[in-house]
Amino acid sequence: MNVLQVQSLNKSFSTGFRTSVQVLNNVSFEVKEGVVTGFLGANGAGKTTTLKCIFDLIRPTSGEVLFFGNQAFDLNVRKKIGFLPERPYFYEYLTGFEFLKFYGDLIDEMTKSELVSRIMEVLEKVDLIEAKDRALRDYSKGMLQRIGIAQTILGRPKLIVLDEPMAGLDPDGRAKLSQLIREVASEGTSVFFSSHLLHDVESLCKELVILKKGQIVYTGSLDSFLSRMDSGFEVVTENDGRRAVQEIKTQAELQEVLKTIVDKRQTLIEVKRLRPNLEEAFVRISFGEEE
Amino acid sequence: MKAAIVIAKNTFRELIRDRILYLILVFAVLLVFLSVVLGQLSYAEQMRITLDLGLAGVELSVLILSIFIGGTLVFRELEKRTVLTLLTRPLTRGQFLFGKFLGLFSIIFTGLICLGLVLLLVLCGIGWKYQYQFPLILLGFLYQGAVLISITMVFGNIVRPVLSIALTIGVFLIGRSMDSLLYFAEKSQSVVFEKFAWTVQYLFPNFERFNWKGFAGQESFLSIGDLFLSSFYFLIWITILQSAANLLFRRKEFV
Repeated sequence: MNVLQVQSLNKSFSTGFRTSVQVLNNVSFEVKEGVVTGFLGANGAGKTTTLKCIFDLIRPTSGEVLFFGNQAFDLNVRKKIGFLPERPYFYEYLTGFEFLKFYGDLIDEMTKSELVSRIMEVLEKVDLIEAKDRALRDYSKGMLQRIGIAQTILGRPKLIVLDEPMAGLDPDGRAKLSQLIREVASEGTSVFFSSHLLHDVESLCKELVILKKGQIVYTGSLDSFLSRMDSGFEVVTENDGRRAVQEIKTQAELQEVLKTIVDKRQTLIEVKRLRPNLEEAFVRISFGEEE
Repeated sequence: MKAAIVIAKNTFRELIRDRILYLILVFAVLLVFLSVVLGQLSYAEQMRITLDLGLAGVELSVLILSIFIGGTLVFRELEKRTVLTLLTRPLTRGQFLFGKFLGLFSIIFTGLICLGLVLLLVLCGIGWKYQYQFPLILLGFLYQGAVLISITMVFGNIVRPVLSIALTIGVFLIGRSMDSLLYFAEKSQSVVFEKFAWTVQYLFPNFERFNWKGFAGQESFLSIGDLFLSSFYFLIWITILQSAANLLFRRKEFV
C-alpha cells in the first residue's frame, strides 16, 4: 500500500497582474509503506512547496494528494502522520516535556498517564530525557531537531515527513539524527524526507523522488537510479608483477577482456562496476546529463 | 472543541510567561494608585475622581492588552512558523484561531479580575462602599476587550500587525463616538449625514453599548433587559468577527 500518493500536482503563484509563475508542474509520486524515501532537488526546485501542498498549507492549483490508499488529509489521517518543517521553530518558553505534552494533547489518542509514559519513552529515544525540564530556548540546534522528531513520532504515526532535517547540524548531530530515522523506520514507520546532504540520503533511503524545476525527473529505487548511471567496469590485472587498470564500457567488452586475461594467463586482481555515488549522479541529473 | 482548548491553554501559558503582560499590569496598578493620589489632591468629590480614574486605568490596560497583544497573536505564529507544525496536527484552522482567541480572552479575564480586586481593595481602603455595579462595569470592559481581539484577528489576516493595530484603534474610536455621531445625525438636517451615520452603526460595533463607567458611584444601572440586549449585541459581533477571521484564515496560504 502507498502511504502517500501525489497525483498531477500543479501550483502557480501570482507574481502580479495577470502574471504567474508555475512552481510545480504535474508532480506525481508515491511513498511506499515501511520504506525510507528521499526527496531530492536543488534549491528552488519546489520541494518545500510540494510538502506544503501535501499538508494543505498551500493550496495546489490542481492535483490530488491521498494518504493510506485513498484518504484525504482529514483529522483522522492527521493522527497517523508526523511532520517536521524546515528550520522549525518551537515555543521557546516551553520545556521539552511541556512541548511534547502540548502536541500529545492535540493528538488526543491517549489517556493522561499513557501520554506521560509515551512522552518519557520518546524523550528516551531521542536522547533528551536529561533535558526534559529545560526550556526550548536553551536547546542546541541538534537538540531542537531531535525534539522536533520526537514531536513527529509521539502519536506512533504510520508516516513521518521531514523537510531538511539535517540542515545546519554538525556531523555528530547528523549521525544522531540518521540513527534516529533508522530506528523509527525499523519500527515500520514510513519516512519521507527532503535533504541536500546526499551522503545521508544515500545511507538512509531505499527509494528516491527527484524534483527538478518543479517537475519529477525520477521516482523509484535508489539502486536502480544509480545503476542507470553505471559508466562501465574497471578491470585490474597483474602481469609479471606489474599492475594494469583497464576501463571498459560494455558487458560484451568485459566478456572479451576477461577471456583474453584467461587466455594469456594473466592474474585477475579485481573487476569493479563503475557506479557513481548519489552525489555524482544527482549532479549529473541536475545539470541535465541524464534525464 | 478540545483542540481549541488545548491551543487556548498554550496561548494562556505563552502570554503568562511573557514580560509584556506584566509591564501592562504594573502600569495599570500604578494608574490605580495614581488615581488615589489625584483624588486626594482635588477639593471635592475625591471618591468620585478616584473611582473614575481607577476604572479608566483598568479599562485602558484592557484596551492595550486586547489591541496590542491581539494584533500580534496570530502573526507571531506565522512569523516564527510554529503554525506549520500545528496545522498538520489533528486540528482545523478554525479551532486554531478560536483557541488563540480563547487564550487571550482568558488572559484579559484573569487580568481584569486581578486589577478589579486591586482597585476594589484600594477603594475600600479609602472608605468606598461596594456597589453591585462594580463587577458589571468590569464585564463591559471584558466585552470591549473580546470584540477588540476579534477585530485585530480579522485585520491580522489581511495586513501586518502595525497596520492591524492602527486599524483596530480606528474602529474603536469610531465605535466609541457612535452615540455622538447618531445624535448629531439625528439633529442635523442633512440626509446624507443621516444615511452615513445609519450605515456606520451597522458596519462598526458600537463600543458605547459596553461602556458603563458612567454608572460608577450611581444608585442606578442598566435595566436587566438592556444588560441582556448589550450581551446579545456583544455575542452577535463576536460571532460575525470570529466567522470573518475564520473565513480569511481558512483561505490563507503559508508560503
